[in-house]
Amino acid sequence: MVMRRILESALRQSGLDLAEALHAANGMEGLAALENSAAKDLQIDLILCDMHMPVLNGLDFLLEKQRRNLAPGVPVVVITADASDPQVLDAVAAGAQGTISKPFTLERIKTCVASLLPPVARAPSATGDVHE
Amino acid sequence: MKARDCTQDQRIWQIDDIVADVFQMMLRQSCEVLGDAAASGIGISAMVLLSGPIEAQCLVEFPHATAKKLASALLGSEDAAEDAMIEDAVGELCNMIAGGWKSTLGATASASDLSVPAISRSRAPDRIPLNGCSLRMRRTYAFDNSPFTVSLAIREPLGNRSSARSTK
Repeated sequence: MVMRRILESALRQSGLDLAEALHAANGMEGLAALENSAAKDLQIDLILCDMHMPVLNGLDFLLEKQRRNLAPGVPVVVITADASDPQVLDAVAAGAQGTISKPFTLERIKTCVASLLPPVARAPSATGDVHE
Repeated sequence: MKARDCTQDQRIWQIDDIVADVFQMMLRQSCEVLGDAAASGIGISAMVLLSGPIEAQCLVEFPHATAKKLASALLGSEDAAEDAMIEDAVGELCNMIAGGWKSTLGATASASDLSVPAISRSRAPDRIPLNGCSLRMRRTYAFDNSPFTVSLAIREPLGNRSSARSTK
């Protein structure tokens, strides 16, 4: 939960006026959050996903998200403390469009996120799905 | 650089750099090396295990007051005082140090997996037995005058072993 709060704070400090940030403690909760958002017709603009999570890790979350066709087209950034993990490449193959290594700087978050969000989503009301 | 090519001193300097980077990037604070003696009054610890071709453990140990200060600094607020948040902060720090350390261990280690941090309210028991280690070291640091200890142990495949030495 600490990293989720750090990331949400970093996104807000990056100039993104987030309407809402959905938090999930693991991949399974992340899938549930995406399903819930789809049921309510809520738009998700960005998914940040830690690779190391209990219950369901980042790679399995991505594969399952793909299999269930949840949030198709929404950019996913994977976050990892283990930059040498071969699973990071697997995550990219499974659809992740960005990677952020921990520890990170605010500038790194800003650069990565800005490159993935369309201009409209960089304006106020962007939403995010912050996983840990 | 492969793990077996490093001297004990080089490995210690690498860990010092990794810890310093974590504090500089995530907390914007410097972190001072205090030496090899363990911090006293440990109240919470986190352990990350590396399993696979190279087996290793990374243990960070905090006095409770230091752990609380860490959580507050990471979150940028004093409302980090609740225990679950403090435990999570210590686990995150352990995770980042272990990940950085793994990247210094060479190609063999990249195929090993990092566990999620296991939190303990006392000193966590060693998972790599002393007599099975190819390396074991301990460093104590301080940020904002608050000490904490990082302990590392590796059990490498026989072919990878360098001369095993310990700082303890």
